[in-house]
Amino acid sequence: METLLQDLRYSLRTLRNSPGFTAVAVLTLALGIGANTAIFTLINAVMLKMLPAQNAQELVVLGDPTAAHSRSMGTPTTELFSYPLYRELRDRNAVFSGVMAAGEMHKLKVTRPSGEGVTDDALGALVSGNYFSVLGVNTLIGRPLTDDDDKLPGAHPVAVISYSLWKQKFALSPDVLGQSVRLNGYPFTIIGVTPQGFYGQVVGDVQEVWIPIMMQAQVMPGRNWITESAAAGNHQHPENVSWLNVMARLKPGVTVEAAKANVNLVFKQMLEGSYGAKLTSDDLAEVKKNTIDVVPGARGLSELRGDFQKPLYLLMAIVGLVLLIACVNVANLLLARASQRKREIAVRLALGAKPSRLVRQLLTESVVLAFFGGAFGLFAAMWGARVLLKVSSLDTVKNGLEVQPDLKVLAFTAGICVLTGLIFGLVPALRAVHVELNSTLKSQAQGNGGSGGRGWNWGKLLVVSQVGLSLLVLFAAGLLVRSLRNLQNLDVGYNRQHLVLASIDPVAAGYNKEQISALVPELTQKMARIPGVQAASVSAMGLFSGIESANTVKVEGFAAANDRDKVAYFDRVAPDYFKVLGIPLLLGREISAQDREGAPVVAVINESMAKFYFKNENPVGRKFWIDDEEHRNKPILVVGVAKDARDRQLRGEVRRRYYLSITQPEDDLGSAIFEIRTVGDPEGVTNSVRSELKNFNSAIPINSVRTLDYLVDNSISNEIIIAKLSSFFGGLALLLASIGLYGIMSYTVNGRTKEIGVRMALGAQRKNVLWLILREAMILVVAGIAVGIPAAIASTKLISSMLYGLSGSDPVSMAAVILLLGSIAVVASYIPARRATKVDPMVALRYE
Amino acid sequence: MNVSQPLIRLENVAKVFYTDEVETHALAGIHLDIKKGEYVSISGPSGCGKSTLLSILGLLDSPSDGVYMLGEKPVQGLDFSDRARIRNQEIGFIFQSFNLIGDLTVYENVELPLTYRNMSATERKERVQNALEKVGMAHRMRHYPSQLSGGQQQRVAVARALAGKPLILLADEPTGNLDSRNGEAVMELLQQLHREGATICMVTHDERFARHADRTVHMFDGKVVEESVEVG
Repeated sequence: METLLQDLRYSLRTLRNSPGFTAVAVLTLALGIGANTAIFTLINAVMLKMLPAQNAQELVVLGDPTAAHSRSMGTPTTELFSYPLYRELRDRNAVFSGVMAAGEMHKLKVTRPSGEGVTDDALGALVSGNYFSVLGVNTLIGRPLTDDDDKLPGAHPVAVISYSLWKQKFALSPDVLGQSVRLNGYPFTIIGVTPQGFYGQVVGDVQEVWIPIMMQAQVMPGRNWITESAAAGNHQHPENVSWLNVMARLKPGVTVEAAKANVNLVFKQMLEGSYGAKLTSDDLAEVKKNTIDVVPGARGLSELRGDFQKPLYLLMAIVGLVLLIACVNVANLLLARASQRKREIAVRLALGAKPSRLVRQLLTESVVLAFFGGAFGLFAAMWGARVLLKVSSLDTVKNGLEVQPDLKVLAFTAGICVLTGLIFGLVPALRAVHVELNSTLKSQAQGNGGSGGRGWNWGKLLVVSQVGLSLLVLFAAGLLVRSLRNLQNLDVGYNRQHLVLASIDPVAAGYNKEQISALVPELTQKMARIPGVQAASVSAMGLFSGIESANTVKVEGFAAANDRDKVAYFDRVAPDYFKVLGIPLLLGREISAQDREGAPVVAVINESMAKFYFKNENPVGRKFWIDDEEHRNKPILVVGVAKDARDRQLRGEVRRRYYLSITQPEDDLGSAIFEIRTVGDPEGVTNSVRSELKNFNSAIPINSVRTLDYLVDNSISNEIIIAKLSSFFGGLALLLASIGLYGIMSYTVNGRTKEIGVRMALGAQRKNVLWLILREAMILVVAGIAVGIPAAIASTKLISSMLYGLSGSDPVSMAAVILLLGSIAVVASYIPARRATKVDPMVALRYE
Repeated sequence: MNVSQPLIRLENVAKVFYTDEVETHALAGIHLDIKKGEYVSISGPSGCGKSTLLSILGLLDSPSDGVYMLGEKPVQGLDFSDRARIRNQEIGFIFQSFNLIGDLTVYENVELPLTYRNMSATERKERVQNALEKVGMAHRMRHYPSQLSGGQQQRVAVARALAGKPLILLADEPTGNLDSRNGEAVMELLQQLHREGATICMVTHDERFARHADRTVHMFDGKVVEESVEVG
């Protein structure tokens, strides 16, 4: 212990005595460790952080923990749950002490009784009465919701609000309890405030208001997903609306596996019993194929986890390589420094120090250096993680992540400091203690170190590895950037520019089916008349909206080989939809005004659907049916074939799709999405669109008004984030590698001053000397590239699933990376090379 | 060249160094002629300016004042590039500490100045072999300097100076790092080269070796204080 303290003291003194070296090494390490800590902070926030719940390890999630922002209408799912399914599971299981459910509501409008707005963009959650008790979370003031608040539909308009809402909108006044607020226009009484730091069951979301599930119909007018009575069409049966995330607390001694077995046993019994009896035979058959997953729930639900797991781990690998490059830089600095300390080491050895003792001392110095780097890195990471979050935040919902360093982050940073110190310190330390005692002690010269001079040595090998690693990072970044470019330049089958999508929810404003049918054409005309708008149409699903619908279909003359063959996706569109978007019609006609309710049901199908079901025959005039009990006798006539268009996702095959007339609705229209073609910049039209919609009826909620470019970018946000961040870290790797190359070439030039002087005395021109050094640098770079190419190609297998339109050995990316690396290397080595040309031969020859 | 013209002529050459606003007159009023085929030694105590004089003669340094004619051309005001060209083509250097490049073989060391000329590889090879044969080191051409004795290294350095077929050989204490036996051998080699027609200017503080030259220039305090001609 005493010797360790002695080593520490000596290390601090040594570092203080070499401020230049210390500063460069600490800065390099701060960049490397900071990048790693920043990414780990995000991984911690997204992947590792536990819910602020009591005994969180007892919590489990039923269904899919990443499906936090989804809803599904139609056949019941087991990823998300309908209220009846949740209720049955809650009441019939034998393994949980409590089962709670929650469904999020975005853009909840909160107003005071006076009508004064509190916020119109709150994130609310409809939760079961036992929500807080299952999570083990109490309120800071007031009381939480209880089972009694959640027994009868519409009976208990009470709400619990978050600490942040209390602070921001109610000034932390205790009088908030008992105050009345209107949520989406319906009066509620605030009964409690959650503790600071509690944002609900979804990691990354900031829930602000919690109300009983039984109040669903009151805050979502026009929709009743709780009781049978208000159900309108098939898809509005409570059994057919899967919208709840379910979490439960295990009874003592029950394992997750046992819970899963019990839940699925209960689920089977339910399907055979009264719950199953309420489903259509098609739905029942479909649901019977599924099981309910039960997974540990201490980390809550998170869509981010599903979306960002792979990107974050990829980025962690990339910053790991960046840190390795930083380590190589510092190792090289230490090698150079070791040569200056050769005499000191020799003296210590001569005085009887064991080599192992000296290695320990030198490693202590390295670890101390790494901790200094780590400390600065931690500060950089705290700032960097917020920047990363901002860069990655295309949706406001993602802003709830807490990226403050906690114990896990601090432990990670400390661990990485120790590891880093050992990695970059080991080789220089081992080399330093291998000195020729006699010659070193006799020599007055500082000696040539590990890196100076011609020929291969550790320093140069490290630079080669650095170039190789940089190539690896840059190539991965290059592939991801080019892949993104391919996606962004992909022909979607229509003009992506100058298009605005405006989504409204007339159902929430109380519009019924007939009223919506009348509203849609009227509003479409209004949209088309806005200055700067060329034309407008409307559809049920929109473009890149995140909404998708599919049916199983039966097609005249087509024999399906399996269930997958029967699946076709659909949308409901207004007249001129194809014309407004610019999707060419290959055959027949598009949906027109004559395709209204009462007229024969018609559809335009896309090319993929036509080819799949009708092969080379003309589909126009042929029929197909939605393959369920309700629709089996309602043929749909194909009236046109449209060119394939990518309207949901850029990747993958274009799905088989049919387009029905929006004025021939089978069910209530969930939302209406206007496609507005603008003359110029679509961004400039969005405000006018909002105003027009508000002027028409301010009670109709506007879900969003976005340009298609934004929506498309949002659909590939992962690709954008990864391309941006990998490019950034690629740049960092390049910077570190060029610093490394600069360092080694500077050191080489210093070590070869006399040689350069001799060459000049013998008549070498400046260009000869310049080329001498540049050539040597280029040899290192070429060797690094030669090592890096196979490693890069081999490792891109890890990201092959993220690539689009290019292979993992894309020659263009490789050529670009080599060119970039080569150019930067020339710049980095040019400075020392130029310095070499300034060597005064006379001075150099006297140098010895 | 006019036969009556010396190969090298220094007229009133001076060299002043400035350090911290202090003027140090390293050379003052130097007049020196060296004829083609002549063997001149420059001697004097340490700090007398003989190495500075040799640096000016070798175009490693420029005089502060005076005229330096090499052949019939003034060279005191040439730029870096022209001086490098003249050093490469018209001057052969032999240094006290040999100044061979450790990572190059004997062959490559001798070839080095030739690589700075537009010379074919065949001609370079021929010249290197001839030079090494002349100094008796042809059998060691694949060796590295570290594998040679000091005397052998200096022979290689002489070969390197000869390979370029310079107008003059400038030797700066060529025996300074050698024992007396190897020192004698190197002096014998220079003597032989002189007999074959080489012009040599050698700096030495060793009177014994100075006597090998046709003429000895004695320096003191930056000035030529005496010139003596060896007889016999």
